[in-house]
Amino acid sequence: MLAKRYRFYFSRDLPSCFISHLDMVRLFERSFRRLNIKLKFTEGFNPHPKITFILPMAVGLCSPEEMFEVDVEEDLDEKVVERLNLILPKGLKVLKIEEAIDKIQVSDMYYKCFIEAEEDFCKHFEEFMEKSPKIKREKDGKVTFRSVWDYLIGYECQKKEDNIELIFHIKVVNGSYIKPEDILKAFSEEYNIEYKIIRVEREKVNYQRVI
Amino acid sequence: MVVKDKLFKLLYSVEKPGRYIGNEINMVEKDPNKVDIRFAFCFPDIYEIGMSHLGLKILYHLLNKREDVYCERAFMPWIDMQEKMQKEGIKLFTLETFTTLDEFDIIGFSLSYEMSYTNVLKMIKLSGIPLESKNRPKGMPIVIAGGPCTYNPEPLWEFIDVFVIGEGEEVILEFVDLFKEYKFSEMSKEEFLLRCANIEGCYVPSFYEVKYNQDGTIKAIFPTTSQVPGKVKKRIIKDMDSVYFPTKMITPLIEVVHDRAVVEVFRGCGRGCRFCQAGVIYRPVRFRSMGKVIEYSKELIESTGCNELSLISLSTSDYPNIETLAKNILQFTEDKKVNISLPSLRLDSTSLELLKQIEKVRKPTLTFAPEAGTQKLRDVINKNIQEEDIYSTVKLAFERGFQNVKLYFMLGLPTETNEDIIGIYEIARNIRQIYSDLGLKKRVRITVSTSFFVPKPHTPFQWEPQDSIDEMKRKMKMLKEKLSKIKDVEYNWHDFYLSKLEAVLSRGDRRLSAVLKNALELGCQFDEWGEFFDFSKWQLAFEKANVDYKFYSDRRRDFDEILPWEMIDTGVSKEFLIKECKLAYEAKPTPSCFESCIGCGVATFKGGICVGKKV
Repeated sequence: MLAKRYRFYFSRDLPSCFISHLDMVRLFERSFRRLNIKLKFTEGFNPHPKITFILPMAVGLCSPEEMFEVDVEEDLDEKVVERLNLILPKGLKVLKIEEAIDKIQVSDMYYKCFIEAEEDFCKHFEEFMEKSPKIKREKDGKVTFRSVWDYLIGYECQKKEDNIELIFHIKVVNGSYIKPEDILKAFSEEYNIEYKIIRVEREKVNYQRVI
Repeated sequence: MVVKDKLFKLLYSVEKPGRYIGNEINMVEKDPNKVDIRFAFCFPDIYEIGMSHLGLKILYHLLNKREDVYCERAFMPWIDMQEKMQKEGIKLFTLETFTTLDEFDIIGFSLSYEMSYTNVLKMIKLSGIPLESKNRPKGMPIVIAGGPCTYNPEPLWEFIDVFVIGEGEEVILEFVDLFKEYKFSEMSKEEFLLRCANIEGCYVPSFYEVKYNQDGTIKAIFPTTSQVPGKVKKRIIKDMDSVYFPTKMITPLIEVVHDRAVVEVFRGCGRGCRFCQAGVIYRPVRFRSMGKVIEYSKELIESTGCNELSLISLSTSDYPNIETLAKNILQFTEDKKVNISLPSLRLDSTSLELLKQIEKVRKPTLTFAPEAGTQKLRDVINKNIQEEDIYSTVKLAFERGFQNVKLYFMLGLPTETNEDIIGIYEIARNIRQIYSDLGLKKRVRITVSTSFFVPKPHTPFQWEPQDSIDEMKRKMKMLKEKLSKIKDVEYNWHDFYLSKLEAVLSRGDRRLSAVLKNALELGCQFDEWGEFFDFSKWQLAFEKANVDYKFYSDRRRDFDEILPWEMIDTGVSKEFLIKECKLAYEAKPTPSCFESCIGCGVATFKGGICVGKKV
């Protein structure tokens, strides 16, 4: 039969948030195999399933709702949600599935970071953010700089009990985006201020249909 | 719970935090308050290595099958994590319940390689309990160890309460039963250990004493009480079909070294290579029936979802009807897109055909382990591999599109001459020539790797000296120089000092426990990982303990010298080892167990092919 593409929406939290993107792909491939669900594999010498995370998840990232698409050689219904949840490790939960009849992409997203740092962290951070900061990026030996405000719609920094809570509203530009951890790192390097990440959440992801 | 909370705050600032979270597929969950015995299974290396180890998984599930036991796992944390743990005051913990090791009843180490000894000590230290057995009274964990290294347990004698010699599936349950009696009674630790020493396969070093001669050799090894046996006989599983095998096997969430489902097709090896310790200690060969292998393979794929199934043994080509087995397994793996791998396959035209059928996903690399460069030296070591077979297989493989050839050799084998070393070069050159003659367009890569011969206890070469470091260097340079003349050949050699230290620890005696303590204090750990290995620290550790390491590595021993491991009985007789050693010097091969019984002595165990049991 012709393969069907499904979207799997899932949440990720402790402790499963500490695995890498590739581990996630492998974990879902294995889970589908355990359930005897026939995935569509690529042709060729080294066949692999077509599992595509619309946004790869960094190690440590938690989220109430993320999504991947997978090509399957059979019809799936809602029952698969429960079957998967019975075998997935703690911290991962499938929320719903839908057939992918259109193409979507991410337009923007909200991150929330909890960090441990000095009392006046926010003051310095706000100062840093006003100076049109840049993020250094090294890839294949080449160094490029990206302007934070090209990707950032807004942010908040406030002290909450023992921790500092940062919220970033980030937009995706031509398929690329910046991560809050990179902004924090750039700040820490320039201001020589230390901090410790306690938790990073991608609170909400907004999609748009591609025409 | 405190440990878990503290730990999870550290995970954003360490490398590969997935090592420390547990939570894997098929991990066993129990209420620790509802069991009688808490067992911490420890692997003295990082998670990715430990979780590639089949023995750990077998014993983990075997122990957890019992309702009265909860077996959890602990691995050596990487340096960055160790630093953070120390800063936060977190002791070494298990991945199931994040309980610190000092709260366990039993801590069990798996000893797979000597270079992990400092990690064993470090893990005990990180657990917050005293290093030495004698300083751990009743109420503190009992520390036990098993695995191939226990065939010479002596360098660790001070730290380990009980060594389990041989295969663990039966003896570990007997040990646990006894422990339960000990825990819930007034039995003293002394009494408990005494009773342990009477379980077959358990060696309790505190009941044995060693006396030395003036020249440093051993004068006598004897039990200090008549209540323990003079020799400790290894344990084996007689029947591979009735022994427990976990088919709902724990499967890591992060990528580990061997990331696959594994079924052991047989135990033991009948080849009798004279340098090989595994070939002696795992004797006799015991096959698992084809029906069982197929059944377990099916169940493992269902329970783990792995996309690779590995059929393992010490020499998989020796499994009768391996082709039929592979075909049967292919019937259900192909559809599920599961790849089969057969490590330890002797390569020839038949096995190449087999590989072609089953290993569809593999990168086309051919691996040969001739171990020695000339037929004469291969006869010395009893490695039954003919150069002509290598060449014909290589030719066939090149024609089929293989582009990578890997060759493994050993330098420093007994009787080795320069000619034998040049022989290694010649094999590489001939293979390169075969490639040129075929006129193929693609590039070829030939990798030659050499390790240095490490004489191992219980082998026919246990009396042999190891080359000095200068001699190792000379041989390596000579070979390097020669090989550099061949196009497309890459040469790798094993670290001289690591090989030296391995030789010292393998054949060491009780005096090395002081050296290990010094090494720990000097910061030695992860010695197997080249980046942390520092031989100068070890030299200092030897000096401080007044030990000349060359006494253990570079010296030829007499056949009548008492060896430190003589209280351990592998079933293979000393007479047989001496006979084999002499045959080596005459360059006379010995047939394999599959051809005829060679009378090594292990038949007394009445197992496997010794009693004519086939698949």
